[in-house]
Amino acid sequence: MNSIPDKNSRLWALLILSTLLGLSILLEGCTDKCTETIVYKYYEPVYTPLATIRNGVKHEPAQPLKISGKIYFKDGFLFVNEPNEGIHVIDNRDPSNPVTKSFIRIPGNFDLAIRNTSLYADSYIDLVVLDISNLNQVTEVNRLEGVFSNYNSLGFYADAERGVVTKWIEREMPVVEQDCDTRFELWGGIRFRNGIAFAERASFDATMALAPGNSTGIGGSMARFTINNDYLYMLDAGNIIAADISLPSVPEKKSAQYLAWDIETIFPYDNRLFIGARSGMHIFDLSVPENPVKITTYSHINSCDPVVVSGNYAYVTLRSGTQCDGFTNQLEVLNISNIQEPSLVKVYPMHNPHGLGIDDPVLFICDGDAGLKVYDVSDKLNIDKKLLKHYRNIHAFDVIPFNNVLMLIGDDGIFQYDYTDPLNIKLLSQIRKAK
Amino acid sequence: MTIRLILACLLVSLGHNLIAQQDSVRQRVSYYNSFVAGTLIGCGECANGKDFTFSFLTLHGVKFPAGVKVALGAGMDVYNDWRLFPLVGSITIDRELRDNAVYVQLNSGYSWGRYIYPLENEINLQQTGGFVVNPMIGYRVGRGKSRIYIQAGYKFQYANVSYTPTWWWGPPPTITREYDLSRVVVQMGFGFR
Repeated sequence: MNSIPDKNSRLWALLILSTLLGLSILLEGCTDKCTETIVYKYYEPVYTPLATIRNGVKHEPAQPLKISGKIYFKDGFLFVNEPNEGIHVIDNRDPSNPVTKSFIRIPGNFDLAIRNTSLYADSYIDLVVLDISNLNQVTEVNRLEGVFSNYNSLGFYADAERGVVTKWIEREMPVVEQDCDTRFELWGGIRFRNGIAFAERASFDATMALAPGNSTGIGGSMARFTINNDYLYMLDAGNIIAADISLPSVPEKKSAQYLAWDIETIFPYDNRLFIGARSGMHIFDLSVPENPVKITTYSHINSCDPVVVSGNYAYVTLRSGTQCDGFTNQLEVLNISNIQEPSLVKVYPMHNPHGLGIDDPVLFICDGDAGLKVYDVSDKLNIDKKLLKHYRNIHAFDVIPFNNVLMLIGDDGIFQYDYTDPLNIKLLSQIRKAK
Repeated sequence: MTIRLILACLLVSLGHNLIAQQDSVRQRVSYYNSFVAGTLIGCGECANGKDFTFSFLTLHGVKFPAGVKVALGAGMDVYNDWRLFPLVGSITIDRELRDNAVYVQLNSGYSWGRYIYPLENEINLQQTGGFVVNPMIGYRVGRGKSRIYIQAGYKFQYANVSYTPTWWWGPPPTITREYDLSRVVVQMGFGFR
C-alpha cells in the first residue's frame, strides 16, 4: 500500500525532473554538434645512414630491368641505369642478341660515365669509381665523399646524423576540427612539419623524387655526367663540378661553379659544354678544362630542354609537363657557327619531346606518347618535310645513335635498331622490362 | 547529453511507478499503433536562427495489462544536412484508466542516414546514421478504439559522413564529419487501441 503523501512526492519528483529536462534543453539549446576529422595523406622522407649506403655497392647476378634509367655505351657493352638501384651490364657486341650479364648495385645511382676501365657513378652525395676491367668482377676502387653536396630529395638534404633520404612513405595525419565550418582552399595548400605533398597523388613517383634534378639518360642527350678528355663534368643542382680523371681511379675535384638553379643536361662537343636548362641553353668553353668558362646563354621560355650538337647546329627540344613548367613542345634548331651569338633557325612543333640523338644527317627524337621520330636534317628549314620514319607505338625517353645502331630506352625497355638505311630502319632486338 | 539521458530515464521510471499505483485493473494484451508527425526544433547553424523541420514516427506494438506498451517503430527526421530514418524500440507507460491521460514514452534505436549537404566532386562517399534516443511526454485523448496523441520531448541522433574531395591539390584527404543532432520534438497524431 502506498500513502497519498508518497504519491504526491513522486508526482513532485516527476514534475521536477520534467522541469530539469526541459530547462537543460532550453538553456543549452538544441544545437547540433559537428566534429570534423580531416585525415591528410602526405609523404614522409625515410633516411638511411651514410655508412649503410657506402657499404651498399655490390656486384650481383643479372636482374630483370624494372625501371628505365639512363644508358651508356662503351666498347660493345650497354650500361643501363636502374634509377636509385644501380646499373645493368648488357653485352651488346651483337646488337641483335644482347645478353644481360650482371647488375652493379649502387644505392642512389642515377648517372654514369665511363673512361677506359673506370666507371663513374653517383651514389646520392658521393661519386663512386668502379673498376670494370673485369666485367665478371666489378669492384669499387675509390669514392669521393660528399662531392654532390647539393643532393637533396625535394628539399630534404643529406645530414651527417640521419643520412640521406632514400625513400618516401605515405603517412596519414588526422586533424580534428570542433566544427564543420572548414572550407578548403581550392589551391589546397597543405602544410606539414614532416613531409610534403604533390600535385596529384597518382603523379608521385618516389624514384623521381629521389633523383637529383629531373633528367634521365646518360650517354644520350639527357645526361648529367659527361667526360671530355681528362675531365669528368657533373651537374650538382645548379653547379657544374669539374673533376680531373687523368688518374682514372683517383678522381680529383677541381672546381665547382654555380651556373643556374634550373640546369638539367650536359652535352660535350668540340671542346665545349652545352648545358640545357629550363630557361635556356648555356655554352661553356673548355680551353681551361678544370675551370669551364661561360661563352654565352641562349634563352628560351621555361621548359625541359635536352640538347645535342652536330657541326654548326644545335638541336634543342622543349617539352611541357609537371616538372618542366611551360606549355611548349617543340624542336628548336639553332645556328651556333657564331658561338658567341647562337641564332634560331627554325622551330618545329612536337608532341612531348624527351631525349634526342643525332648521327648527321639523321636526327632521332623521342616524342613522348607520339613515339620515336626519325628525321633527315640536311635541310634545316624543312626538317618536318623529311620525316623518314615514325614509330608510334614506342614511348621512348632517350637514344644513343652509334655506328648505325640506335640504342633506345623507354617505357617498355631497351630497343635497338639498325639505321644503316635510314629509309628502312630495322628492329634488331629488344629487352623488355619486367612486369 | 549524459545528464539529459539520465533525467529522461528517471522520468520514464518515475512515471511508470506513479501510474502503476493508480489502479490494478487487469486488461488483456492487445495490439496498438500510433502515427505522429510534427516538428524538430533546434539549430544546426545557430547564427541563422532556429530550424523547424519535419519529423514523423509510427509505432506498432502490444499493450500489456500492467499499463506498459512495447512497440517497434519507424520514421523520418529532416535536418538541414541530413535525412534520417530511425528504426526504434519503444516503451510507453500509459495505463489508460481514463479516456484522456498523460503518458511517458522512451524510443531508442538506430537511424539510417542520407547526407544532403552539397559536396563538390566527392568520391568514396560513405554516410551512416547511428544511435537515436527520444524521451517523450504526452497527452492522450481516447474515444472507443481511436486515440489522438499530443506529445513533446527531446531527440538525440548521431550521424556520420566521410568522403574524399577530388579537386584536392595534393594527395586527397579523407574528411569525416560526425554529427550529434539535438532537437526538441513536438508532435501530434492518431492511433487505434
